[in-house]
Amino acid sequence: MTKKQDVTECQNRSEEAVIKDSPEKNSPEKVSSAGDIRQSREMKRAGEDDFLSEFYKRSRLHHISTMGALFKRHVTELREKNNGIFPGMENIENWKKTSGYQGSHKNEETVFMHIDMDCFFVSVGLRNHPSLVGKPVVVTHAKADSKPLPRREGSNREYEFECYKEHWIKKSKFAESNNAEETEAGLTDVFPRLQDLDETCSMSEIASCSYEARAAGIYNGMFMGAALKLCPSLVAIPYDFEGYKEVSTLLYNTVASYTLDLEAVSCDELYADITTVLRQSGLAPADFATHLKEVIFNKTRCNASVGMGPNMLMARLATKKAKPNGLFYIQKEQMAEFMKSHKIEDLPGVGRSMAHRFHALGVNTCLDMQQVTLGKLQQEFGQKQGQTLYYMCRGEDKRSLKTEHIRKSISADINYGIRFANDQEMYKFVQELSSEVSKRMEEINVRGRLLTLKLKIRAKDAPIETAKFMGHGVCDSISRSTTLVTATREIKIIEKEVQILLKQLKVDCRELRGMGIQFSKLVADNVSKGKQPKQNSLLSFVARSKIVPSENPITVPPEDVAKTVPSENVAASNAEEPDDEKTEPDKNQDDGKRANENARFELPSFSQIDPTVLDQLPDDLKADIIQEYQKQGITLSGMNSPTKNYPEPVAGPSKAEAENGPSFVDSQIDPSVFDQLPDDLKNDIIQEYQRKGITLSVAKSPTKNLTKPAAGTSKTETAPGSSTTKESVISSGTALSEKPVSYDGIEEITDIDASYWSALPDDIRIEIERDIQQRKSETTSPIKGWKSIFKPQRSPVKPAGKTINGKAKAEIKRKTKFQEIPKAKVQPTIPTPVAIAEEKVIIDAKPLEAPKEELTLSGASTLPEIRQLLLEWFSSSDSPENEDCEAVSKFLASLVNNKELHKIEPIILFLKRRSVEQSDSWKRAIDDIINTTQLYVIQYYNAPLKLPSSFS
Amino acid sequence: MTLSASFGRDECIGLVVDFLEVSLHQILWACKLYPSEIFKQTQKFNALVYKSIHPEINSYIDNTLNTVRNLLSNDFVEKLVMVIKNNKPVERFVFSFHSYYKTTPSGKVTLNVTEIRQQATAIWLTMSQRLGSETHYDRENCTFAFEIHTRNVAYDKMLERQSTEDFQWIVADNIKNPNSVMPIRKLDSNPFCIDVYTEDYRGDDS
Repeated sequence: MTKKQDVTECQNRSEEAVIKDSPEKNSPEKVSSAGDIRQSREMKRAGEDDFLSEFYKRSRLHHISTMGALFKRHVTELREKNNGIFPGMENIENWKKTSGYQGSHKNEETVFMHIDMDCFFVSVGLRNHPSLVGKPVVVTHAKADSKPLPRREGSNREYEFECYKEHWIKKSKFAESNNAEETEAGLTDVFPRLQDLDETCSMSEIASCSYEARAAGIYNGMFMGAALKLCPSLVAIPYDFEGYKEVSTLLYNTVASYTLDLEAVSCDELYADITTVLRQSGLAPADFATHLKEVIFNKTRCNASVGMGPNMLMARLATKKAKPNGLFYIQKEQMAEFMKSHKIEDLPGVGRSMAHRFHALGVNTCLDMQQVTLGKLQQEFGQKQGQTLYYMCRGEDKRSLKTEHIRKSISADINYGIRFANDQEMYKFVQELSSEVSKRMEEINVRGRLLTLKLKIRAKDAPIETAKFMGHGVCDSISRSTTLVTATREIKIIEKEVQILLKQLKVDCRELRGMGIQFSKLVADNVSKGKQPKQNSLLSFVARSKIVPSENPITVPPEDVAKTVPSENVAASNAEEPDDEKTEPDKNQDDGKRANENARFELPSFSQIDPTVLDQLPDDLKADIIQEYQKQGITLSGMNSPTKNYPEPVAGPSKAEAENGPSFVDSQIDPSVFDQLPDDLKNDIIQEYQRKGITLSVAKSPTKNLTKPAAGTSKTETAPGSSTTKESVISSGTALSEKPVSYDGIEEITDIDASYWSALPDDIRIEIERDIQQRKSETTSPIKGWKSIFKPQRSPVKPAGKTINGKAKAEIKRKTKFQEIPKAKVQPTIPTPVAIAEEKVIIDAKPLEAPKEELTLSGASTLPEIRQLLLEWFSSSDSPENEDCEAVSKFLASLVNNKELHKIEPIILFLKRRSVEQSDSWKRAIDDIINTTQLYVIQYYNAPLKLPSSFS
Repeated sequence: MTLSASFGRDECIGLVVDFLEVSLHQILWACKLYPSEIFKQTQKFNALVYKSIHPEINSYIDNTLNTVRNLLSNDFVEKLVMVIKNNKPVERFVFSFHSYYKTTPSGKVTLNVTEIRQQATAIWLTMSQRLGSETHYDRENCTFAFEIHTRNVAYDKMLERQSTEDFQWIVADNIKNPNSVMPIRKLDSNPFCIDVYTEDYRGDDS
């Protein structure tokens, strides 16, 4: 039996790796004739220091399984390094000379080779114990001469075996085996060792046994105690993990020197496609195998068995025939005949349970199975497996070598030694296990998104002490998964999630017998590597706050974005200095490439641009350039280093369409500025960061982005599909304080650069002139800001004759800024005349479609904003202005119109609550607003909104 | 990761139907129309939800949703309503579909799955919270039914198909106007916009 099967079997039995002997046996004992002294140490309990590292140092399964993965990687690496030269071919030539083989064989067919070392662990172990060659030898943790152990308090072996047996019977019932006799027969099949066991013999499992031992009836996975009864002269040797690694590496390197068409299966088993080798060398398959076996033996002093056939299945079955230390080649013609003799258990993938289901169907050999129709097999075993079985029993196998090794999941499970005394121990263990999983993910550069916590909890009626020392005994297995927002391998995050799951499951730590953390939905992180090496600290984020530009979210294909990003970041860091001006890129560059290349414009000073040239540029390009200048305008206002922020189509093109418009925000996070932000704002930013990758409704509408940077406008860039490229950039309140300032700088048209002014289209000029006038009248308005906010013709819901969508938006934007001036008092007021005019241009350049514009009340669209606005309104005067009331009603009505009922409810409730404290005139006004809104609601929903009766 | 992913039309509809299914079960559970024994806890979108295990209830819901699924693929559904009634309707849970699948030329739609999940979870939470806090009417004697409000010619098509299906729809009576409406939440993530609210038929004095 190969090691691979051994491993699987162990897992099937849900028995865990044997770690070491019981501590009761304290005195060092002689193990083998070679005089190996085995040290007996206390087995650590989970939760104690270094439990995990100790565990993995000793766990047999761990070593075997990680070695398999290791060699899969090794092969990939070899393949990458390979330069097309195979030194092995030279060896063949030499060998042909010495042995007199002729290279005249003409091989036309594909030949697969399956190489499997003979009782690998024993063979390797015997290299250090030559005197034991030819004796029955096993590899196990226990000692061959171990004396019967006293029964441990509280353990009950019979009970556990009963449990396993029952479990197994239940399972076979599932397989519809009603025949009691058969079940009984199956039982002895599965649990032959029950009879061999008595109360006290060692429950260490045998990992590998020599052919001499096999002759005595010993098999892999047998308990040591039972084996000793069968063969008292049995010699046990310890594991030699270093030796296994060394021999495996030699094996793989040897085979790789002939061909790299390899598929690693485990540390001692691999497939190779030797068609090319045979063709080049002219050797017959058997000759090459002889040669290869010789070379392997010379290098490793271990025997390998080699099977060959026209496909992987045949090669594998041939190896069975070849063992021990032989070779076997199945030719295509012999295939059918060869298959007939096989038992179904010989087929890879047919384990005990499936074999049992087949026996129930009366199928025992492959010949029997060949009689079963494809439909029947699929009905019984599922579409895919049925088909595989159908072909497999005919010896057909369409698999090709899996040269690309893709991990689907990564996990670390420990079901041994778990005996927690308290929660602290448990959490400490969770931490260790988390870092183990994290380490494993890091080794192969992936992050996982689906976290599954697997627990083994002592079954209710199971004895507290298990039959196997520190084993898990009879357990209920439960698992719970959680999908993380982003793929991760941060220990802290894993730890936290696991703790949450543990709390959800309300686990009693003393009942825990096993725990495993598994990650699936793995995402390779080579894309994001270097870009976001660490994701979990705000500080590192702040330090990195950078630009993710993409001027035209609608046309940039996601792939391009992913490519663009890294280089951008470089540009961003270069741009730390405001005066970092560089050469002007070719403005007339190919439009198609533009999205990629103009990720960051470096422009000459504005005065150097010929307005006429600018005018003739395509609209979007013009908008981009102007946008850039606008940014520089802000840069020049003397604040911190500029960072630019471009929106990314979070949900792809269709979303971008909906978002529409120039949702550019100038963002910069300076730690010192960040520090001084109000707490809630800070929280917003932090939250935003934590949720990177999620579109918040806050960030949805362009209007919003322009008007309310204070809400922590977020830009999320989501890379295509499963790629990890993701960047979220936060804009802090800084931008907010500057923009209005720059806008406010314009008091007269004369402030605007004449050449630029002339370049503007007429309607925009008119627009600006009108704005300036309006602004002038506003400054003279008695209740500064307030009155104007709700002025109907300025309210967003009432564009008052302004026909172009973009203009309406511009209005909102302008108003909000105006309103926010008081907040920005601290900031230096530096007029940047150009900025205002440009804003207009941009807005007009991009307004074409706005299918999903978020409704705002003077720029406020989220509930807290609206509340704040209303509060300010209440306190602004003793009695409300009619037009303001109207504006509010209109806003609510438009919400109804948009079916945003859930937004209206809290606003109305808020109004009601507040109206109690207000004067009568306010009360009346508020009642009016509510009644009007209710009428609208009735119009759309046939009934009024339900409001708490205490108010009405 | 994979916050946004491309979905075919069927997958999109599948997602909506999933959301509806969980919502309907959730309502049933929260309304306590049936003993809590027929529900089992399960997970959807990472949220803890309750699902009925009663075969007949489930088949009723499944059949309804199958019809919805068919109609959705043609944009024919205006509303799916779950009516809780005690001879007369007591309360109606309305899922009102406002916008549909703006498919890109390739036929794929990019969804922000995380957003949808979060919003769906929020809706379920709000639902069970709202219903959990209301104890003042006796739901034990109530039954439930579904209404589908269709657009266009969907009704004719449904009738055509009826002959071949086991699950029969009948034309609804005139639906009385409710006394009040209460919003629950909105599932609003491009390309979906599903408004969820309840219509209350109880008197305001109750």
